[in-house]
Amino acid sequence: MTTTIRVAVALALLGLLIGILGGGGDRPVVVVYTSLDPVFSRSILSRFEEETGIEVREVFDTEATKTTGLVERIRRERSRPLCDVFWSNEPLRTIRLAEEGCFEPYLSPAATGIDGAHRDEAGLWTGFAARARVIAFDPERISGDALPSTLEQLLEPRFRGQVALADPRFGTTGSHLAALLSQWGEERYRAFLSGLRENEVQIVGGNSMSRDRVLSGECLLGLTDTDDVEVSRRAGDRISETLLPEEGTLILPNTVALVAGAPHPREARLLIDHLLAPEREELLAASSSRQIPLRPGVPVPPGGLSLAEVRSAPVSLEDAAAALPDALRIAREILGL
Amino acid sequence: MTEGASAAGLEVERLRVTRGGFRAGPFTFRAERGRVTSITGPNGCGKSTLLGSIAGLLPAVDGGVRFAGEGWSEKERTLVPPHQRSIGLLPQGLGLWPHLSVREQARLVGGGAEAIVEMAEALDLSGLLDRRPASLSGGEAQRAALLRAVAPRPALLLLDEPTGQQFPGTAARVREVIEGIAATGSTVLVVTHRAWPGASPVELFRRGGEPSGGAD
Amino acid sequence: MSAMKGEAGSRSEDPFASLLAVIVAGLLFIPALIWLGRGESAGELAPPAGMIEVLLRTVLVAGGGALGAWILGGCIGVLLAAYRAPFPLIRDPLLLSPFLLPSVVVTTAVQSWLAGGPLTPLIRGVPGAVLISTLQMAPLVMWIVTRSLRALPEEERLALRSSLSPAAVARQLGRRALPISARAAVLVFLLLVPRLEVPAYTGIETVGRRVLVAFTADGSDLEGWIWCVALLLLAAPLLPLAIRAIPSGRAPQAMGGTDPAAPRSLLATALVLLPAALPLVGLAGLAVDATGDGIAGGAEARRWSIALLRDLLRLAPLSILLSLIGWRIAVGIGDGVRARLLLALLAMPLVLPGCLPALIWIEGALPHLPRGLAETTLPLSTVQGLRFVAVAILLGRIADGSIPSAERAAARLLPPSVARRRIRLPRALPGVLAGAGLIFALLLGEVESAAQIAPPGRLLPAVELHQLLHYRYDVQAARLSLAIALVAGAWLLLLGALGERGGRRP
Repeated sequence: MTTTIRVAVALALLGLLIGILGGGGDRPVVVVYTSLDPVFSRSILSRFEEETGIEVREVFDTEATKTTGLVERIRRERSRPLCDVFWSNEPLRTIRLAEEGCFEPYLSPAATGIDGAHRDEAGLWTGFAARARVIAFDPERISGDALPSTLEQLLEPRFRGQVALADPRFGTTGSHLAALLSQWGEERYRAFLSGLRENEVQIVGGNSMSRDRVLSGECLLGLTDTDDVEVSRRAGDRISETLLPEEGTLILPNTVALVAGAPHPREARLLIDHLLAPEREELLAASSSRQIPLRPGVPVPPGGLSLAEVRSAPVSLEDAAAALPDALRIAREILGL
Repeated sequence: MTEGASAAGLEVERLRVTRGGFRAGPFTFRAERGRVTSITGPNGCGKSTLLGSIAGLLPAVDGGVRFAGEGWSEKERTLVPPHQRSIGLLPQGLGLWPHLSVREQARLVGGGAEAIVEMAEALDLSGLLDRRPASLSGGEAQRAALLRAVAPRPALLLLDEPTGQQFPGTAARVREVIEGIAATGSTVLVVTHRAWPGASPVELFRRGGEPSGGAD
Repeated sequence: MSAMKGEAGSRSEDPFASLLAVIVAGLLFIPALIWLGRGESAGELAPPAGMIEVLLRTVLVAGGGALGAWILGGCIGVLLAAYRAPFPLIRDPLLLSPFLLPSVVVTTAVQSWLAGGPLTPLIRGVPGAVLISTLQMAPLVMWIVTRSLRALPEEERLALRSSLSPAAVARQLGRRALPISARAAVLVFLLLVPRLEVPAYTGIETVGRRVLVAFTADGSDLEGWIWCVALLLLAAPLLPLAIRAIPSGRAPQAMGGTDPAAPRSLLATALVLLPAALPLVGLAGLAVDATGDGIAGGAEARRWSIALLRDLLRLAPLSILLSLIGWRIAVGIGDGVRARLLLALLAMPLVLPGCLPALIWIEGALPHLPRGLAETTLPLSTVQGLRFVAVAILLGRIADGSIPSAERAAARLLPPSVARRRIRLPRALPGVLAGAGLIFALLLGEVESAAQIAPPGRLLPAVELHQLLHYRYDVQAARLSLAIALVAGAWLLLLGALGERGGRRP
């Protein structure tokens, strides 16, 4: 018996060692932390691997901690970074990390054509393919003139208890609120949130859950992102979205940044060049993520969105990033989070 | 307890024991080396509890146990842990280890290979040494547990009803073996319902609802 | 001495076990001290807003879930012990499947079935979290109860069968199962308190989410620590209950085994097996749906197979090692104040949100590890191990408690190390291995620390599942969760078979 146990323990330790350490190689490597979902990012990264022979090691985020998990990880790893490239699907937290000194400048030659509003002058971060904030709805339950054309119409009594909003402390909902604060000023922002609370807004875990409340019929409207609606539509669900034609909507580009002290800086720069190439924007525009190319010349497939047809809200990303902490503090205070 | 009493082998003095909510004692008695001492008494008077406490398996709350002049326990303190007491124990539930053969069990407690064979013959277990407990009858299992208790030739043998499950014929052989062990200088304590011929008797009785007793 | 309770000195200090416990505790607390020592925890020391409300809601959800699991799991466990169910080989993994499936799958499955209909209120808010937690945790209670009842001494079982009707036997067994099922319910409560996913999906705010928010999204580290202390105070009264020894001879034993005297009952079998089989059948139906192939074909399947295999390679030995460490600490650590304090320390990662040990390691330990090691799954495995070491200790105590007291008494006359090696470990092995199976399922579904500290380039099935569900790749998610349940079930079966063998033969 004792021999059996000893052999079992030895095998267990050996297996553990193999399981833990296995998988290493001599290929050049680049480490990317990305909050863009793997179903979209993976094909792009595989393509990079095929073209360059550089192995990409990726870390993805989960829905519940969207973006913030990776942001926090980069921040906490600052004394010795494991990450080379941060590819975020949301710009504000990237800008904040840049301000904290987590990135080093890189002006990629592939970024030509992206206008100054969507990238950092010094090259600390660069934006590409964007998503937009939208209101999802079930076209059989509400349509035409009944749809809100501004956010503040959500406060009308007819939408009492019928609006779903994702937890603003994570993901793009927080970015959206920060943009509103910087655009509207504190008074109007506070009034909007108080109105939402009084109109019994339903706070849910994430943007996809906001959409799911609309699908299940529990809510009439759900604030979410274009990609959440599109994947659901392609899965055969009855869902549509409005981009707030009257006041414009928030455009949230992907951002890519080179981590300060990156362990593989050469490979990191190559990956950034690859990500910023127009072909990647085209790919993301055609995917079920239905992203909006930031360069005018990039072709958009039928059913896709182009920058020209989306009315963008007049917000500076830098201002919104600066407003983020205050926006969240006020939201927590008013919404009781 | 005086120094001169050490020749008595085991000395139990005003020993009180608890087991769950059950309290037993105080017990006071001596058991001489080279002899069988039988402990008798009515059901529930604490005989098995007493054996457990002498072996160090149950906590004493008061009194003391000494063996060959060495203090084993004093009040609630254990001075010598059970495995250093040179004890052979046959508990009421036998406690045979089901994953080991009779021989392996006897070897594990420190019995020599030859002594085991010899003792097994005396206990009518010769053909059963390599069997596991599950394949033994009740009487055989009890003798196997006895074999395990006596195999290392302990200085103190604690036996709980060692002939309880034996036919009269085998019971006599078992008694012979036990007396043989005593004759080699071991102290033997037997808990029994019936009188053990030739043994020094210790009788436990209930006093005021609580088991206690013991006599020299 | 047939029932030697209160054995003298059986819980006396064993230096190795204490040392082991100190080492394990050190893996968490030294990095935590390094983190705290940096003094970056700015913020004001005041109770966060809505603290009482959030705490009460957390207790309500975890308590309700534990109570529900206790009642449901207890009843099913007693039914299973009182009647004979067919297919004993697959019965246990099947019944455990809601527990083996990652909680996010159970949650989304229940929600997608019931959402929009008249039962919608049952799946949202506090009632939803309680219902889903009950469904997921009942199998755990059931499993512990069934095992405990199957371990009844032969004579007692025969006596019950010969004198009572099956229904009366079930009632008697129910009474016998109360103490052990109550302990299982306490374990469930402790597992539920820090949970993130179920409350997030049902749309309620619990302490776990507050801690995550404070440390990762918005708020300060100090606020996070305040929540942690609140959580610990909440769970502290229950910790000793959960880690105290189970009385000898009354604890669950190995896998499998049915009372041969139990009558067969088709109704009882259906009642017990159907609810467990339904989700699996539903998942299987979805998984064979060919429409999903367009999105992710062979490449995806290959990737998951490799990911599952690699995780199996990592978690199978890790779960056994953890179970053995838990058993070793359980049998060796004393019962004094110091020992209890140590056990309470080890139980902390269980009752705190899973992201916390990961964050502690990222900040306090990772920068000090050689880069080669920091990029492996070592930090992840350590953190996940730390999360569940308390469960391992508890299951270790249960396994050790299954050794009949007379055998244990006889073993105590051997030197302790010999007794442990030759008697207690081999006799507890079925329980230790079965415990490893449960821990494996917990590790495989663990996503909270995995999401924080997964090494670059390592695909973790549980994290992947989240992505698939989020992006409505239901077919792929069904396939992957089915694969996860199958792997966990197969491992459980294998360990069960090994345990049975080990229990019979060396």
